[in-house]
Amino acid sequence: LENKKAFERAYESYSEAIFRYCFFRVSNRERAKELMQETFMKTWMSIAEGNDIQNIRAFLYKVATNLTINEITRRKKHESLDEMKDEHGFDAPENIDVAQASEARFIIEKLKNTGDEASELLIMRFIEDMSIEEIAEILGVSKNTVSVRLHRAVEKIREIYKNE
Amino acid sequence: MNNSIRNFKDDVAKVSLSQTEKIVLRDEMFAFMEKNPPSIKGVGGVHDAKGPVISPLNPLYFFKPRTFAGLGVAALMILSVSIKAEASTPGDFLYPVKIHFNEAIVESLALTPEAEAAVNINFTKKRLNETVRLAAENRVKKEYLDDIRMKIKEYDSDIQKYINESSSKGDIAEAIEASSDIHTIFSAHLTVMKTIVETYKENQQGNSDLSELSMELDTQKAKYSKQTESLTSVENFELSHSENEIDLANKNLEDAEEALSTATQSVKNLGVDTTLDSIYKLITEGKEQIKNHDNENAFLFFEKAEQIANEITIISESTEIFEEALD
Repeated sequence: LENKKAFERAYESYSEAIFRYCFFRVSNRERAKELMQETFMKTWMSIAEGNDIQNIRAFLYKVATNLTINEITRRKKHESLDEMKDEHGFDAPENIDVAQASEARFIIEKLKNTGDEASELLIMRFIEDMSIEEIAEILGVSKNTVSVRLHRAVEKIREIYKNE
Repeated sequence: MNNSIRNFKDDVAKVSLSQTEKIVLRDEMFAFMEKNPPSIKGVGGVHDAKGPVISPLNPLYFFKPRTFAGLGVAALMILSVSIKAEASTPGDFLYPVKIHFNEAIVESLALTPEAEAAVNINFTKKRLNETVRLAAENRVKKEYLDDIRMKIKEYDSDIQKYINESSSKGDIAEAIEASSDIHTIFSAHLTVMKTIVETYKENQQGNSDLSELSMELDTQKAKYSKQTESLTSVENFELSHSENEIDLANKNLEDAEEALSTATQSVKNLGVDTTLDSIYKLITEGKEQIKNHDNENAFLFFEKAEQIANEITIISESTEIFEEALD
């Protein structure tokens, strides 16, 4: 019962962040929602099987990263990212503000210009306020690598916003 | 934070789930959780980034019966090796255990200078025992004796340091005890060692290394003998000096008692002036005692002086009452 409550709290706290993370990686709102749900389902199943999760946030991001990588790899086999965008687009569902959907498309374009890796790091660091240590743990790289890549990503985003 | 990052954050924050989406997704998730409850065997847990809450008694969980048993067996094995090592001599397989494990533990437990000195004396005794055993078993080798010689020198240096420090602090008795102990140990072992050296010579198996060590130890013995003698004479002088001080104090007390007797007599004879003289004399004696740092005797003098003064007051008051009655 205690684990269930802790998991529900984690869902309330991190579901939106995981959705956003998936969204910027797969460029599709509906798919991002599905991946977010899948992330939490896999995590819950892991807990249900008796695994001990020390850092729920890091664990969720690890699962989400793996799921989105699988998704991108699967898609790349069939179509280019541009085709994919044309096909699925960012069309807002009926209950989503059109302006918001348009804004999302605009940001995705910006992030695409920074490259997949850079956008991932920028979101983790500046949107989700993760520490360098946490990002390194999720991505399975050293803290130094994260710092160097993050520095480059920041330079890119600066360049993009400067040229607007 | 610079503007680019702030703009980026503002832009990204605009991407969010609608309230309706949140409710639908949450309900879906909770329904999934209901359908897939944790297994009974499952002991998994969820912890946030701060890490799990660990009971302060957690280290005790380590000590399960199996761990205890393992630790017990290991301790018995170590103890058994350690005991066997105690009987070893240089060149034996377990001798390094005796020196680097057994004696290292004993050394680390000696926390006071007295204990350290006692340990060094004991180690010297052990090294001499080993030498005698090696000689008796005809297993003397130069490298063994060199090693023993070096160790005895180290112990000697520490013992000597302790004796000097104790002596300079005025703890002569402790210094004598240490010096005398080490002298006795050298004497006892040298007697045996010399006998063995002589036997060797008789059998024409002279061992120059052993003879050399024996002579060196003889010098050490002589040093401690002289030192013990010298320290004893210092202590005797201090004792006699103390005795002189006690004699002087006793004499002062006798004088004071005599003065008190005179004073008491004077009070009885109502010779107040004479009595006052006695009181002054007692006070003067008391002051002298203070100068001699004998506060105890000084207190006795002052007490007697006060006693006489009180008696005079009582007599004086009685006289006044008597005179008033006569009037």
